[in-house]
Amino acid sequence: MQTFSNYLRLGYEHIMSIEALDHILFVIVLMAVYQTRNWLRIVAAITFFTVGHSITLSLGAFNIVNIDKGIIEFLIPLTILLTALYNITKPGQNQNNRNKAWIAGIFGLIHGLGFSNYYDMLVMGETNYWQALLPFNLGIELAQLLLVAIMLILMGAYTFLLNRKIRDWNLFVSGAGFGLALIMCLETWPF
Amino acid sequence: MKTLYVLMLALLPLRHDFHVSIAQVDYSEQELQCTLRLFTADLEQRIAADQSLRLALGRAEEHPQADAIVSAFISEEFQIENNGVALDFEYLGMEVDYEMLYIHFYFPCPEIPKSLSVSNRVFFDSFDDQSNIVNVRIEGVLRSAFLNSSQSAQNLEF
Repeated sequence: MQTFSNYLRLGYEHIMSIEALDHILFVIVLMAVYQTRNWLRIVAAITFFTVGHSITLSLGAFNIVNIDKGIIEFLIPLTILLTALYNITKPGQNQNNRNKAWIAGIFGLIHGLGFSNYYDMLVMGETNYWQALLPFNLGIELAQLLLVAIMLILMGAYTFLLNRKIRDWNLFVSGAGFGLALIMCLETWPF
Repeated sequence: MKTLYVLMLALLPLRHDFHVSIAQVDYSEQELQCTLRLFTADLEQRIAADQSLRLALGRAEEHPQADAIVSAFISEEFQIENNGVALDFEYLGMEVDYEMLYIHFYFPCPEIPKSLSVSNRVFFDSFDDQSNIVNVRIEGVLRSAFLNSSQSAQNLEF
């Protein structure tokens, strides 16, 4: 159990860090259109995101994903940028739109490519998938859910205490996310 | 405007690096046999910064004293105490596998240890967010230490 909790902590701390801005920003932008009562849809989308990047992380074992790092570092902020843009379209603002979870899952695959060298680090010898990769991914999910909870409180304060519309919140968060992602895209421009 | 742009860039962490090392320690043949996994680039940068040496591990131009340099560095950072007594560090060798570096070494320990203090401070001076995991297996019992700059040593009971 000690190893399990250590790898869990490793995943958790990996996300709960200012270095993980790309990851955090994606989660914040992804949930920007939802009202607090639709929290279950947010959790579903976040879980799809985690499953997506867990898949590409595990593929590192077979060394089959060998995409140029420069391209991946550009694609990751591009997923944030596209999600922010989608948030200002009509289907993107529809809270019952199930495509959101699938988009999160597919974009998760791209974020996981950035973890290409994690597999070799996490899995060796006595520590196998269940002892290392599973708790690591669960730790990431846990950190993301905590982030969701914090954002829900902020969002609730904005809509209930200030009596403002979720639409305004979405425009503010998606706009900020778009701006940051755009700078990151320009900075990592590979072409 | 340009200043603002530069300032924003400086604040944006563009690379999400994984600052981790993981060690596997097994007790066998009266030795604590260790394999430490770390990122080759992290070690090369550290040695370059500390000693102005270019290790170029696993490449044709590899530094001729690479083994001695790595051994000296790791023996400073990675220590094991058995019942309060520091064990001797014996270097075996290393393997480079693309981005990963596997360093093999052992600590002679004639009696089966019951209580160990493990310490791995590797890269704590390089990165604030460095975490080092040390997994120790003795007689089938697996214990694990999670080390970072605020706790660089941990006791493991078997």
